[in-house]
This record gives sequence, C-alpha cells and structure tokens, in this order.
Amino acid sequence: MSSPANQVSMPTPVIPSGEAQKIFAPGDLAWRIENLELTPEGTLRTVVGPCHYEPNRAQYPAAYSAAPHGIFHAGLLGGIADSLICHFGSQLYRHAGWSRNFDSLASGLNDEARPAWPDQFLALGGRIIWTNGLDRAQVISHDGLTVPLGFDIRPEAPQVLCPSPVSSDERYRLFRNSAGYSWPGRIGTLGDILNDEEGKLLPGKWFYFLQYEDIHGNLSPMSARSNRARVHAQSANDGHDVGLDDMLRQFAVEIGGTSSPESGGYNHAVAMRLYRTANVRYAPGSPRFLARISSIRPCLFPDARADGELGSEGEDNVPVPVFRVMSAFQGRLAIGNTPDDPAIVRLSAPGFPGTFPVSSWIYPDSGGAEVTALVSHGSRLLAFTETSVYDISDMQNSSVIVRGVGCVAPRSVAAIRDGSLIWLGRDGFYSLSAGGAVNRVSDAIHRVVTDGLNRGRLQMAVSAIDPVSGEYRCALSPAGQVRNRMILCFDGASWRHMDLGIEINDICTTDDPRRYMLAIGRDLTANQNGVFVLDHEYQDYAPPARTCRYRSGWMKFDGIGETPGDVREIYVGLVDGSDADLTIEFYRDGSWAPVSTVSSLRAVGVESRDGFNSRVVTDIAGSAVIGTSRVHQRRLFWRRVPVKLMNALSWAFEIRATYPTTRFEIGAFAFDVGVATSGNARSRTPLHDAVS
Amino acid sequence: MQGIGYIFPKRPLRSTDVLDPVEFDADVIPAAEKYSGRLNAHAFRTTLKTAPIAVGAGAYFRNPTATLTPCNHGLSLSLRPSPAPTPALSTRINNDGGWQAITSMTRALTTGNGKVWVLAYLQYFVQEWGDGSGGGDVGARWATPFVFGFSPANVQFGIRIDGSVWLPGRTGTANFNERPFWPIKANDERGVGQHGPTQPTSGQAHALGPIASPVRLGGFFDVSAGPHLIEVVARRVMDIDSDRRTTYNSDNYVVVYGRQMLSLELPSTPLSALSGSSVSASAWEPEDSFSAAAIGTNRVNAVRSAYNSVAEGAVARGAFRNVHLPSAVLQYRAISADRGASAYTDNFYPGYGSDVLAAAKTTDTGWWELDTGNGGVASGTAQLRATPVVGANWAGNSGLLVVLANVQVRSLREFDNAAAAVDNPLDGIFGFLAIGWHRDGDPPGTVTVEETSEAVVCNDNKYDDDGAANIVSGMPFERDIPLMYVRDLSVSPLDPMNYISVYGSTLPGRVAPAYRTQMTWQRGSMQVLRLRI
Repeated sequence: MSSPANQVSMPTPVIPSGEAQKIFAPGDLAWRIENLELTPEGTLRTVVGPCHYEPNRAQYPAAYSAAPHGIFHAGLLGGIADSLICHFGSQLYRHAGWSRNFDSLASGLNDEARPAWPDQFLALGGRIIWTNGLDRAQVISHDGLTVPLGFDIRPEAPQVLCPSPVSSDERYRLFRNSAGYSWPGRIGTLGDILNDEEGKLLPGKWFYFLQYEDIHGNLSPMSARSNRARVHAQSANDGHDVGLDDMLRQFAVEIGGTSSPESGGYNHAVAMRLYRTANVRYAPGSPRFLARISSIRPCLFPDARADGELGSEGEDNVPVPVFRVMSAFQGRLAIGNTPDDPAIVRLSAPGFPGTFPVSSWIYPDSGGAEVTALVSHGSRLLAFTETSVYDISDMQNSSVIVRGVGCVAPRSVAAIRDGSLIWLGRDGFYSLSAGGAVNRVSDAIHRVVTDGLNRGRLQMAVSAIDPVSGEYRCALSPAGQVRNRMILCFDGASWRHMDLGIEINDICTTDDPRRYMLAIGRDLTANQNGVFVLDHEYQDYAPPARTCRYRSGWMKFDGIGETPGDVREIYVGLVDGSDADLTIEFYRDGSWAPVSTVSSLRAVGVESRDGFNSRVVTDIAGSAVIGTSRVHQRRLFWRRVPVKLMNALSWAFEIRATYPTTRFEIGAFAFDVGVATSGNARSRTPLHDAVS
Repeated sequence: MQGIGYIFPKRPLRSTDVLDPVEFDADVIPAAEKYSGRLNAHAFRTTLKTAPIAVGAGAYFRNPTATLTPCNHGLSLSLRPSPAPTPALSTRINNDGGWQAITSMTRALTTGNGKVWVLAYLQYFVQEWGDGSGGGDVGARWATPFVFGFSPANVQFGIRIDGSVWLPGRTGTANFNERPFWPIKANDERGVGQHGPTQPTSGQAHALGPIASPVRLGGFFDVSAGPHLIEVVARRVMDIDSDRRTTYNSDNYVVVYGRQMLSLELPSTPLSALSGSSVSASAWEPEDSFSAAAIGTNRVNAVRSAYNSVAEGAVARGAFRNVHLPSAVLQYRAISADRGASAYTDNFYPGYGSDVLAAAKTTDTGWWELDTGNGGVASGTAQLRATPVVGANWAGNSGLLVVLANVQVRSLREFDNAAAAVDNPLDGIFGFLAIGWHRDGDPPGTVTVEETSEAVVCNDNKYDDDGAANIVSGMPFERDIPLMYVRDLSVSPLDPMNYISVYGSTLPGRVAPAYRTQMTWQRGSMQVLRLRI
C-alpha cells in the first residue's frame, strides 16, 4: 500500500486491469534508476565507463599521487590551446599530452583534506581563472603562464623631492623657491596679475600616487599619497629679468618599485602607473594619470607636467581578496564571499578581472547572509544565499528574485538546454525557468535529497551538463560518506542515480568537439587517483564493477491502493544488449522483501521466430565468425515474465545486472493484471488492530 | 610522425556484446574525425623535435627583407672636407616640418594577420651652407659647432605604418617646453635673472639635437591581412631663437647617409597546411559483413595507419608548440662589457668602407677592436666580442642575422701628441664605431667591417655662456651609441664566423698626428640573433 510519503517521492501509477492494456515508458514507472543512462530514443541503457584520461603507459602521472581537487577544460586561443587544468595536492597542473607528464603551473597551494568549498574555474577573456576559497586566485594563460589574480597589496607611497624656500637672509640674491630640488618645469599656479612683469606664482601643494600594473593589465590598489610637494608664493619680476614661465618648477618622484621576481616578489607586475593631483589648494585632490613606467624597479621620475596636462582620474581598487564564489558577467569577474566579508560581492572592471574598483560592490542580502553562489544567467548576474536569490546585475538597484529558496553548493549551479537554471538548495534541486519561475524539480527524489545525502557536505557538490545527452549531472556525498560518489542526473523531467565506483572531487566537460565529461577523483577499487573520462572505456582499464538497476514505484490497481489485484505477467520491452541474463525481482504491498525472483531474463532477443533467423545471437561477439557474421542494429523486443502475484494491494519490480558483465537496455513495460475478485475489494483492508 | 588523439572508444567489445554498428562507429569515427585536421599539441611526443624536421618557409617568419644602403659621407683624415650636398644614395631632409620618407627605407608588403618587426638604422649629419665669411667655405660644409657655431639638428625620425607615424617610436619630442637644462646655478639669481638651473635661450635643441648621430628605430606593429606600407620617415622641427620664437632653419639641413632596414612578419596564426589530410572511416550499416576488410582495412587499420604516420594536413593550426618544434632562433649570443673605468681608442679613421685594421692603437690608421685601452685584446666581457657562430653551427648558412650593439661613449677629447696629454677639450672632433666580423678561414688580423653599421658621433656638447669666444666644450658626452647589422643569409651567405665585434676609430679636430682624438667608452652590450626564416 502506498504511503503518504511515497506518494510524494515516488510514482504510484495505477495499472489498468487487462492484458497489456497500456505500454509504459521506463520513466513513467521508475522510482530509482541506477547506472542507467537515457538514450536519444528515450530508452535506458547501462552506463559505460569511466576510464583514465591519461592511460597507464608506464605509470600514472606523478600528479596522481596527490589528492585530487579540481578540474577544468577550455580551448583557449579559439581552440588551438587545449588546456586541461587539474588541481592535485598543492599544485595546479596542465595536461601536457602524449609522453609527457603534467606541467606544474603553480605550487604551494593549500592541499586541504577537508575543504569547505569546491574549486572553481572559469574562462574569461581567453584566460582561465581559478580559486579554491583558500589561496589567492590564479590566472592561467594559454601558454601556461600562471600568475595571481591582480594584486593583494597596496604599493608603497612614492616620495617626492620639491623646491624649498631659501632662508630670508638669502632672498636678496636667490628666488624664494631656489633651495632644495629646484629645476625649471611647468608645475605651478599663476595668479594675480598675469603679465611677465608683475605676475605671481601662487603657493601650491601636490601629492603623488602609485599603482602597479600586472602582465594582464590589472591595476593594484592606489598607494597612499606621497609626502607633500610644495612651492611657495613668489612674484614674477621682483625687479629682475624673470618671467612667469621661469617661476614654474618641476618635482622628482622617488619610486620604490616592487620586489624582483628573483626574490619572490610580485613577478607578474610589469609596470607602474604614476598619478598626481593638481594643485590641491585650488583643485580637487584626486589622483590624475601622469605616466606609465614600463618597469617595476626603483626609479626617479622627473615631473615637469603642468596641471592642465594631467590625464584622467585614476580609480582606487581594492586588494584582490581570497574569495569562495565567482562568475563571469559581461566581461567582468564577479567575486563574492571573502573570508573577511562573506556577504559581499565585488565586480571587476570590464576586461580586467583582477581590477576591482572600490566603488563596485554590493551586499545582496540586507541581513548580511553569506553569498553561496554567483552565476551569470539570462543577461543577469544572480547572487545566491542559502535562503534567497538576488538579481544584482545593477548593483545600484538590485532586486530579490525569490526568498525562502537559496543555494547551498556553488558548483551545483548549471543551465540546462531548455534555458532553465538548476541548483541545489537546502531541501532539493530548484529550477529558475526562462520565464522567471522558481520551482523545486527534485520532488521525485525528495527522499534521497532529505535522507540519502550527507547534508554537511552539500556545499561540495559539483555539477556539469553532459554535452551529449544535455542532462544535468550533480555529484554529491551519499549519507554517511564524506566524498562525492553519488551522481544525480536530471534530464529535465526525471532523475536517475549513478555510482561509478569512483569518488568525484570535481567534474567538467571538454570545450571541444570531443564533448567528453571529465571527472577528477579516485578509483575506489584500485585506490588510484586520476582524471577520468565518463561514459567511455578502453581495454587497458577495467572500470569498477557496479550494479545497474531499474526499480519501479509502487503500482496499484486503483487510485488509493485499496483494490487488491493479481499480477499475472509483466512484459518487458528490451533492446538487444548482451547475450546474458538479467535478474528481475518482484515486491508487494510496500515491502522490499522480494516475493519472486527471475534470474533468467535474457538481455538479447530471440534468434529466430517463425522461420526467420535474425542471426543476432549467432553473431554475438564471442562467437562471431569474421567474414561470415554481420553487424546488426539493436532490436526492440519483448520478453514475457510470469509474476503470479495474487491479491496484492500494490506491487513493484526491479531489474538489475552487474556491469560490465551484462549490458541491457530497457524500452518499455506492459502488464497483464487483474482485480482480485472476491466480494467487496475494500472489505479486505486490514482491520485497525490486525497484526497478520 | 606518430600521433595520439586522446579520443576514447565508447566501450571495448566484450564476448557477450551484440555486434552493434552504432557502437562500432562510436569507437572509430571520432578518432578518424580527430585525425582529419584536429590533432592538437597533446597528440604528439616532445621527441618530435629531435626528428629531422623541415620547417616550412614562412612557418615562423614571413616577408624577411634586410636592406643595406651604403652611402659615403666623405669624412677622412683630411681635415673635414666639404661634403657634396646630396651625395649618391643620401636623403636630404626638407626644412619644412613635414614627415618625409627616407629613400630605400620603405617596404610595401602584403601580410596576414600578425605583427611586423621593423628595425631601422641610419646615420645623419647636419650640414650648413657656408657664406665664406670668417674664412669658411662657400657651399656645403660640416656643421661642427667648434668652427661654425652650434646648429642643433632638431630632427625627428619615426616609423610610419600605412600613413600613420607610430607615436611611441619617434625620436625625441618636438616640444618647446622640453628643452634641455644647463646643470648650473647662479650664485646671484636675481643678478643674472636666472631662476635656478635654467635653460639656454638661444639655439635650443629639441627632438634630436646632435649634429651627427646614428639612430636606431624599431618596434613591433600589429597588422591585419592585406597590403601595408612601412616607411622610415624624418622631419625637421623648428628652431627656437633667443626670443623663444620658432623658425625653420634655412641655412642648414640634415642629410641621411648609410642606413639599414629590416622588416619581418610574425604571423599570429600558423600557416594552414597546403592541403588537408583526412582518413575515411565510413559508418557501418546494419547487416554489413563483419569481415576483416570491413573491420581492419576500411576502418581500424586505416585510422591506425593514419595515426602512425601523420600527414601535414591532419594537424590542427597551432598544434605544434615550442616543446615539439626546432627553435625559431638558430643561434644567439648576448654579451655585455663593463670596463669598470673608461677605456679609449684613438686610432685614426681609415675611411668609409675600409676594412683596414690599425697596427698600433695610438698612431696608426685603421679600425681598432674596442678593448682594454692599452693595446691588448682582453678576454671575456672586457671587450665587445661575440663568438656566436662557429664551426658546424653555421651549417646551412641560412637564416636572418641580426646584430644589435650599444656602446656607452663617455667623451671625445683631443690629445696633444707633443704635450703627450689631453689637450683642452675641443668639440668638432669625430668618433666612429662599427660592427665587424672575422670569418672562419680569414687570415689572422683581418676583419670585415660593415660600412652601413658605422656610427659617427661628434662632440657637440658645449656651453657658450656669453655667446663670444669663451666656449667651454668637452663637457661630458655620455651618449648611448647604437649599432646594428642585419643580413639575410639566405640571400647573401657568409662563411662561418669566428666572432663578431665592435671596432672604433677617431678623427682629430686638428692636423694629425700632432693631434689625435681619444674616444672613451666604458660599458657596452651586443646581441646576436640568427633567426630561422
């Protein structure tokens, strides 16, 4: 009998009485589908694979000896630069290709055994950006150059040399600004009477600022302002042959530079930008562009530029923090959830993902809730907390998309082919449709979500869209386990489970015509880390054995499951799989104790019928004769399985086989059932105190 | 050449499997598709580069053109002869402020998308029209300040790409406000009317001021596919008189003499193969015969053979990287020299185009390899000698040879032979530097000095503090003198070289050998590249 809970989490179809009155697709009846994938024809076939991406020619790459963390693939340079990036242990690696080990791109990273956040990668502007929420984010170029994202420091303020006033007892022979660093230039503000004989140099103050520029053009925070550069008031002529222009001065700016690459400094810094204020006595004190110095070494910069020749105002940037979530958005990088400020989101300058202007930030949640995911979807930048979703495309005018529904796993967010966005919330998977509606789409596996997962590890869920089937695959930790091993697959309508016998720390798809889904993790049978290609196999590597299973929901004979019935036979529509037997078990009345088991359900159709010999079985691989055999398109065929369940209120069945021994493909079901006639059917409902 | 596709079969065939044509296709066809023009860097071993690989023409560089235009300036030990106003192959710069292309320093080339590397080198002089006054010549003459007064060149050079002069590469700035300073300060500023370190009020130089100087220009320019015109251009900027008014000079002019130009296209996208290459693995049809030919010959064997012997057209653009390919640089050498203290050379200039070496440093005529200054040839970094190309490494005698050198010339001073001491320093004396080489097989003590690499400098750094006869010259010269030599060895082969070095000589301001000129130098550097073209 179906329970209220079951009515929520599993299908409880009503099977009409009669002999195969209706044909059911596998998805119509399924409650739990394990290690079966959806084919383009809508049938369910045993999942194959995985296999190692880098075969074990002599030995696995040395990188495999370290703990796997993250994986990402991008075809940079328009696909020329095939960049497969892996995070093993404390290093970022790049797959180098045939007969080469993995290239080490960055080392010294945290090798966190119990990470709280998954690695995140994205491709932006022809480069790959990586973060793990613990280390400084890294930028990986097509040639493997890997540098930190922007700058996390503020440059040292420059020091400026300027004129100083001569002492009063020397002014009879020297002009007032002649002491100190006093050279002609064009700096100064002329005032009062503007002619060469009677004009005056007004007093003035100036300040300098410095920014570093990295190899990708990102700018550091602005330095603190320099010491004051100053000129004193001075009359032009003063009875002597000195004109207005002669009073203008220049300054010398001492720039400390940054550490050399050899000493472990900011070796991605390639230039410095020098800014200066106009005369702050008469103009705003904002830094304005003065010069770009193509060096990071200490230097002395002579500045004779007039205030009017200064460039545009320089904007201050924040030191790039460590961050836990990120997303690309309109050529910018949105980052969020920093260790010091989990509720903040910052947006970079367009085209410069390591430059974060101080003015470009938002707290999506007015209560300061931690930002758990960022995603660009449908021309909008969405920020998630555990309980809400916000549209922060316009940081000055953000809006709430939904309250009460949030995201707990930043890497669970993905868009499927119908334009919907899928993510994992506290109590299930949710969808944001193209029309803007938010719905929970995991009701069919609600029991799994609520009880079958390690809820403390939900944030480590990782997902990707299978480029072949288009389905959403999300790897999670099963209840009681600490590693992602269970894969939940959603095709837009129904859910399936996969357990390939490997732990999956991260998952991605290849950005090329191969359309592979790759995973980084560990083969639990061989105890071997590696990069795995899902859905593919080769001879040199035996994937872990597993059970492929189709289990139906509880089927009934009426709408509420109180009409007893007899299940005489079940017709299983299969597609030629392998010349092996499947097991099918039957259950009744809500109990998973099998009441009947048939272990000889052939996974391949009959060889001949009515005098026609298809030769499919004769030409099975193990017995095929080269030159004589032929290849055969897989056939849809029916097998009839006697069940003989009598007087059951509800019933279910399970078809299973062990892979790779047996492969099968389920196409449809039909049933020969009937109501058990013996008086009023409902009179046989057990009494309130019946125990047997 | 073998390749691997990083293509994974759907599933190995197991004994209980149905012979499914769809799965057979999934196992083989992606590998065939990958082979057909999409094999990337991962598909090839690094040992590829150890194989005898022939790099196709234009694979690394295209449109290499190295042009050398010798032009005799006429200077010799005869004291400053009057030059021809427009000697053969020279280019005279108009005094009109407009940019003007220099003859034989233009390139019309059709490129793909990429960059063009341009290197240009030239020697210019300022000449004056003498009017016969003061004992001077009538007609063209060298505009050396000692005799005729200071006439700054005020000339700019630049590289013009498709009609637009590249701003960052222009030499000097035509800007009145960026005049030089005199590093002096009056004790009585109010008395002399000069506020601190001040600027000359007449004959002020901006842009390039020296009256004789080599100029080396260069840069990388983004180009799109199509025709382009690259020119080395020059213009004179206006003089500034004592009233800070500007005017174009009418009594002197700038002439460009010997020069070189290199242009080289660096494609941003690799060349496409001349013809594509593919392997055919047709899809199985139901009920096809499971024969050896159908499995092997027509499909698996065909793909296997293709991967075991990859054809050119199977490789994706950009598949081969530096780990696979021979270097684009056949040979290179970079050296730097620092004498610690100034060394000098004062042998006499042997004349334009001469290869004569001086037998003695202080009295003989000929080139002298920049060395320790005491007549000996030092080793290591004490001299500017590169030994980049020796023996078998020169084999093939091909490629593009690029030699760039810089010498820090500290001063040019007149030496009074009779007094055996440095005389009161004079301007109007010349120093010469040039690149020369000694080939394998050349007799000892002989070199070839490339005339177009010659750099001529004149001590023009003087201070005329009162405009009268009280000229103070010989102030620190301190100039970084560039040198350059380019040669397309595929067009003009050279025998293997033993070394490449920098040579110097001088011309005195007064009659030799009573007077001679000491040119002191301290630091220098040289880079030698031989590029695979």
